[in-house]
Amino acid sequence: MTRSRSLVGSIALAIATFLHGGSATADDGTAPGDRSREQLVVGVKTDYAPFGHYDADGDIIGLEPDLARTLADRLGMELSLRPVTSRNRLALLARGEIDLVLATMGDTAARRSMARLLQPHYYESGVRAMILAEADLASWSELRGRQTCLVQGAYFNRAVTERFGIEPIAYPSMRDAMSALRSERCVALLYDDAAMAEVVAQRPDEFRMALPTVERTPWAAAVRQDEQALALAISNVLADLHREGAVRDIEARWVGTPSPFLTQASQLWTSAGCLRRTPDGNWAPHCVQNAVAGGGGLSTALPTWAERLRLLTGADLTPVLDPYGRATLARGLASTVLLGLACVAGTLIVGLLGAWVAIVARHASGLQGVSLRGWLIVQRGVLSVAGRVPPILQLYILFFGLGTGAIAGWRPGAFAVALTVLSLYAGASITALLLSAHEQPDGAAKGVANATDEASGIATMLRACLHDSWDGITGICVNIVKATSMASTIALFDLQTAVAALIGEGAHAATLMNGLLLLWLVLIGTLLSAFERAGRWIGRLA
Amino acid sequence: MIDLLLDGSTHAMLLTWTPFIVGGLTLNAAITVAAMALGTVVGISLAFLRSGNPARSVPNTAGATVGLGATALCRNVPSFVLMFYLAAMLPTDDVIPPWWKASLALAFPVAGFVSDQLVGARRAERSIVGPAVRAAWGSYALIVFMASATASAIGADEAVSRAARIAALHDEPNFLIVAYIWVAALFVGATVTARFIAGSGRYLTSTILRRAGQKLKFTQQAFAAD
Repeated sequence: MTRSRSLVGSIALAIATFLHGGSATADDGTAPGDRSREQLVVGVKTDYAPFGHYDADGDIIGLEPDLARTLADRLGMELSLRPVTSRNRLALLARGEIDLVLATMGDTAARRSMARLLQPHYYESGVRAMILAEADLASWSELRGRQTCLVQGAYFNRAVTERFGIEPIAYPSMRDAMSALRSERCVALLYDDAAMAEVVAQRPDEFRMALPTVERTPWAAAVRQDEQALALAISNVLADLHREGAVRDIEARWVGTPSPFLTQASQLWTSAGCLRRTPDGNWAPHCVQNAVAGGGGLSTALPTWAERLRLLTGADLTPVLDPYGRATLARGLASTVLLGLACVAGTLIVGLLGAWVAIVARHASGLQGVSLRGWLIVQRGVLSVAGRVPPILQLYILFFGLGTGAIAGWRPGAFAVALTVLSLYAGASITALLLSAHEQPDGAAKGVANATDEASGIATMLRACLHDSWDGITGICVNIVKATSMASTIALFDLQTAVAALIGEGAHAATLMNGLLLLWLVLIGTLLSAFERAGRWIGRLA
Repeated sequence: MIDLLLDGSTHAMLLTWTPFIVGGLTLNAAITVAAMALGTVVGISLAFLRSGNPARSVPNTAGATVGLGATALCRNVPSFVLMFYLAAMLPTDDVIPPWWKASLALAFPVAGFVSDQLVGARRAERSIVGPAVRAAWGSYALIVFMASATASAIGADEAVSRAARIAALHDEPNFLIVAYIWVAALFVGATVTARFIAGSGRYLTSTILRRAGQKLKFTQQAFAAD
């Protein structure tokens, strides 16, 4: 009964809505596009106060959950909220796990190709600067050439970088970027003003907002491409809500300063030209806004062979063929390779030195022996701790901790921090391996078991241990080069950051991810053949 | 920040949150165990493929090539990159929890490592369960435990994310670093505990085996005397 009645009812009411462009109720009191007793699963943010976050009881609250509730009520549907993130909101929509995205999503051309974004827009935000409370920043031009924090993946990063000539450092999350701002690694944090407003309001003694809003982007709700009826229904309700000022009421519950966008929207949607749809079922052109391109984007058109490749395999080579994309990837690659080589050198040096000192200390006598053994205890302590704390934690602690006054004035960059941490970390394992080979001679080290305290004796012994443990050492070095991909979390501009940036620009994610894996295959393969050759050379010497 | 570190109320707060963080450490341990188990099994198979059965007279070159290729694939890709890859390509977190994705991502390098270790030991004519191999496997398990902390980047509810969540609840600016330092200390404690347990386990096992061996010999002698 329900299905066929609501189907007929839906069609009838859709026609009525079509003509009136506003809400009309049928005789049974249901709303247009009636889907009574159906569930509307809405994806909302849970980490983005005040738009979507958890309260003390674990319920999802905020501006967007409230808006979702209003929409569901008007449609006569049952509401179900699903937590989503910027990364997965459109994927979940495409998979059918949610029906509507209401998750602080800016309207961009790239997203319009992935889902049906609805008009009218329900909110708007732009880019502003967050600075330290005691700092000063009067105009955007003051940022030219200066180090400025960004958040990885934001689609406006490229636009603000090119427009204002800043020196960008992109962090994985807003929280990390704020830590960097506190440690004065940058003069300002440029990000979505809606995201930052709440934080600044809560910590006025630490931060404040500066500079007029730029790169304004409207926020759009989205449904799947094929959901025409639902799109129509929600779109009509949104227009109604603007006319009634209902969105402004919801906003007033959550946001301190009212957004001028909503005032303009109320006026627009109550004006004569936007009260109803045109005969072809759309809103009049002046009522709706075009999507933002997303900071220039990767606008290179694909040549024929690349287009054919894309149709055949799905691989979209735009990031490689576009000059900006190519430059970004090249920069990331150079950084990754450089850090990898530096870490291998650092690791081997730390590992060998550690083992050397340990062996010498064991055989030394007298005052030299005592002081060496004292140093050995310190060394063992440091390396032991370095090997037992996750490197990602060490990166965070050293990078953010050092800036906040512990060692005043000395603030090493991400490269130096990553190199130090990773070399100590892996070097500790190599020292342990070498010493274990020394203590339990197995293989080549058997013949050199009785080392004297002569330098040449120890060198020979070390070479033998090196030869024995070479497989393990290769493994550790390869592992540490792979671990350098972690450095993106302290904003080193490596391959990982480059790929994230391009995906934020709208590049095809699967192509870049698969390409990244393949590239690493090649890089490590090269490294391994180098190690193999070195291992044979050491074998000849031992 | 130093004054925050030395403050008594900070210590009290950290202590109350310690059970919560230790709960996260159990997930780190679970990721490690799962990755090592899966990776070792796959690694042994790969090593077997690569070096072949010594009892066979004809070497299996096709298997060797496949084994080598698969090992290269496992060994060459960073687990951090693989984690993001799996997080994007596999079903969402309510179907496959993030810590499974993290374990799978970490199993790849383990497989490559084990395969290389066994083949290398075989080539150098060392015992494949000899002390060098065992030491390397043990230190790799430690590496994987350390790497499990990166699972926080894909949303796994392990120790590092829990520390970040705690820090988000407290308004002081440097509390995040203090919380991270505390988690670091807990990681050190966890590895020391694990090393102790492993050492005792080894001691117990070898003692039991020795006793069992003595009993067997005694039984044999008793029968032989008849």
